[in-house]
Amino acid sequence: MSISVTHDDPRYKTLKKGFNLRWPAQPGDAAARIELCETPDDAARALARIVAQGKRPTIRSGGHCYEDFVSNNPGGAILDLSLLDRVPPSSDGLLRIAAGSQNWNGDLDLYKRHGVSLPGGSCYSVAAGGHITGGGYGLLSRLQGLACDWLSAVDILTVDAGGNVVPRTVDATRDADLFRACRGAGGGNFGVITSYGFTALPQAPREVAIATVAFDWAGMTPRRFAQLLDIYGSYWETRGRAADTWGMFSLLKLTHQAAGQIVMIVQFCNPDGTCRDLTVLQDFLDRFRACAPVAARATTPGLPRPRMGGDLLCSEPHTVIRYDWLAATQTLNGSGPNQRGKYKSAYMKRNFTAHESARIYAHLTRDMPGADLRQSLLQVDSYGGAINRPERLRDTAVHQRESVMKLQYQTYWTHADQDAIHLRWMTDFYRDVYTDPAASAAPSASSGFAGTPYPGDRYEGCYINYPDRDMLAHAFWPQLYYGKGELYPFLQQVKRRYDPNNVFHHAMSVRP
Amino acid sequence: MNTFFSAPRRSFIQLAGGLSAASAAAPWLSAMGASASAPSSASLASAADPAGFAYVGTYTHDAPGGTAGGPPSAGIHVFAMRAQGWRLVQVMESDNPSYLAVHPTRRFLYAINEIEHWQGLPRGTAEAYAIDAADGSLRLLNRQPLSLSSTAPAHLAVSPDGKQLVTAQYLGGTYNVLPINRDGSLGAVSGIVKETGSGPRPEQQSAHPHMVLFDPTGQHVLATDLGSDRINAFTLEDGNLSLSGRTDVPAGSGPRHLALHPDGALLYVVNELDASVSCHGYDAIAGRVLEPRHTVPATPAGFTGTGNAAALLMHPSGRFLYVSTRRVQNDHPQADSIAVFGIGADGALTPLQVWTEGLRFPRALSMAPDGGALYALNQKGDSVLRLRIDAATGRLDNPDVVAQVPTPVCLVFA
Repeated sequence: MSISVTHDDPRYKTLKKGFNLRWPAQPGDAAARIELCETPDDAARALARIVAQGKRPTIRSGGHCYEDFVSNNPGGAILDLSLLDRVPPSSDGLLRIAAGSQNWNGDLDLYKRHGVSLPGGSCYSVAAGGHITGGGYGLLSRLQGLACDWLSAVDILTVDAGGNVVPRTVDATRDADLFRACRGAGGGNFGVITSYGFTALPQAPREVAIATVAFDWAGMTPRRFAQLLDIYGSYWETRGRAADTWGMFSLLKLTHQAAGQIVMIVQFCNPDGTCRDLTVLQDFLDRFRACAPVAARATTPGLPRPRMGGDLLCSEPHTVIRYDWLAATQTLNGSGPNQRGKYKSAYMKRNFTAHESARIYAHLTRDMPGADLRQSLLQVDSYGGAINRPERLRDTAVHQRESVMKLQYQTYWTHADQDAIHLRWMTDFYRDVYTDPAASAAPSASSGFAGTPYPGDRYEGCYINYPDRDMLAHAFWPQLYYGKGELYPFLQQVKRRYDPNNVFHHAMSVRP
Repeated sequence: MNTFFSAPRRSFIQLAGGLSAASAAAPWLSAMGASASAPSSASLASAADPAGFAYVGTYTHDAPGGTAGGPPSAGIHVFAMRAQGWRLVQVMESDNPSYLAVHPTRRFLYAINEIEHWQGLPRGTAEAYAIDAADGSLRLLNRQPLSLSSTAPAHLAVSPDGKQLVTAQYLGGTYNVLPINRDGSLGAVSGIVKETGSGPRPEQQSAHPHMVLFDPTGQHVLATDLGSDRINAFTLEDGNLSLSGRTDVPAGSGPRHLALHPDGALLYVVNELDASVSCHGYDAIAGRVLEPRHTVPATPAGFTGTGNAAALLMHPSGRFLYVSTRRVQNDHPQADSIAVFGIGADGALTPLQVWTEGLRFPRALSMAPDGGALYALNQKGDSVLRLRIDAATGRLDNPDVVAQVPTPVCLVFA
């Protein structure tokens, strides 16, 4: 039996919310109850009950949905799978990760039991349920691909036309269309995923090096900033394509100048999972010498806190520390505090243009009176490597397979009265970066897509796990997330077939 | 003591007490008196249009079933009904206002917008209008979004106490409840029911709520689901609908609209997909729809085309029932029709007449308040056709186009 938490329960106040404290947006938007499920059977029964009552189910595992897709469910029920964090071993020999398994717990489990790792996200409290079905990527993805690329089967509850709950195990041969859709289309679309099955997972690296370097905002001219972005983007567009660099993953945290420092964090191992040869890492770091690198200050936001020990290989201006892989993962797995947040994303196939650098600089130095932007940043992650295997276009629902960088716009704050100013800052920022006057002056096929990283020459749209409901203003929003090809129509077919009544819906769910 | 009719009177008294403006109560009293009490034979004698206002809802785009092909409608057409004819007062711009409902006070009009997107989200909307008592013209009070995925609303009903609006969403498979504020505007959705269900026909891949009807107690909402072949009964409480019963109708029939017999114990349903009409018993105390007693075709004997039934209209005398059918894909001469039935003592239906002249895809029918005429909304004829009703026999005659309106699909009076 699931545990049903309703309005009078002391837990309700906490459990009606997720990680992003903006949701539920209004008291009237909150779910009427939360069903805490411990087993797939609990989930099936709770789901059947919710549907029979004419209520809307939304699904939560780790509770990290950036948008209101889960917590805004007026009068409905949140099916909470956070206690469903383990499933018993099955006879089919698959290694299973339960929907409620949080990344860090999953890392520990996979590593200790099998010596393997899932190339998924680093935030420790993000859970498998929503993460893997939206693609799932992290520090090992350039080396090993996306989390969904390794998926062999999905245990999912769907609701048939008559409203009956149907438990399914789907894979490449059983309900293959639904299986493909579960590999990247994003959560809350087709049913309730209770666990993920893997026939194999990659071996965890033996050791990795973590490099940290910073660039002071003081003295950061537009020219120097553009140079920094150019060096970074140019590396990933060119040298970063070579297989010997696939074990390197970088996070460039382009903070607002209020934060004081821009920080770059790099994880590196050789393709064999060791740190025997650090030439690639050293070469990458050396390229930034022209940008006046400095040591990161301990107070700079977004900096990993080295708590687990490790061998200091080099310091000043870069700090390079070699860790056992598990220790490194714990060092870099912060989720940040629960607060209010807004996010946007973009995939880049090419290096930054002069226009982009200039607009990014302008907004990162923009003064917003009354707003504290120390927690506002554009994070530029490396991408590509093993992710960009074109064959994954056919058997997964992630279409971004040609990008070299993945951008996550983030801003955080604590009080609702700051909502408007933070949203404005980010909306202006994003629109400006993707509105190139030079490009739109010349009439072209892409001029209708200004303000967005519409898939094309330079961009590959947005990441469904960093959903941004502002994109709903564009009729072409599905193409931003799922590309211009057959994928979105395919997902709509799957929707109609497996969820004919559109029981599972949210603001950005696949439309019937 | 007839308990059935005592309930609406109680509801009325409660609301009248809640209204601050004393002037509001007077016109409403007469309105309620006309609709809630059994009509007298005297009121049926008059066959002239009442001196009031007519509101015609239209499709402004993407009309299911198509249009006559002329210029599209802009919204709600408002007419003053005068002895010499209908005079156009206003065309109120609105987005697919395919169904309308008048508030019991007659001061407000409500419309659903049969659309699939609003402000970037998949949902329809509902609108509230103030009615100018002098000339009948409309002024938009507000437009409220329906709940997420509540796409293509098809019908709406105002509770007899005038405090709540219930809507049925055909594509989204949902029902919504919206509070009506004292100024007539609509509050945010307070209750959502998300349905599942399907039927054997291609049009029945998912639930398709098509109509909501308050029973006279105001406590129960009856609803047709064309997709799942069900008539549902809900209880309205605290701004929420809760399911109190489901009645299955034959698979593939596609129940579309409902009409309660004035005696309160019979419920008629028109089934769109198999073009039939059924009579169910109705338990108004429990709000329960009972098993069907009679079912008859809505198409005439010998009809060989594809039947597609639409509107259902009860004569205020309780003696006659009118059902429209639409020509969907064949050329049978009687595909666009209004079938007239006599209602027997046990609710049984006897075919009396089939009217076809002047009909072009009659999606809706409306009864003149005095029962002396009905109006057919010719969706593909761009016209409102009035047909006189013979008070004694129920038969239709004297066709007269009272208004030219592009793609008209609903008519209400205030």
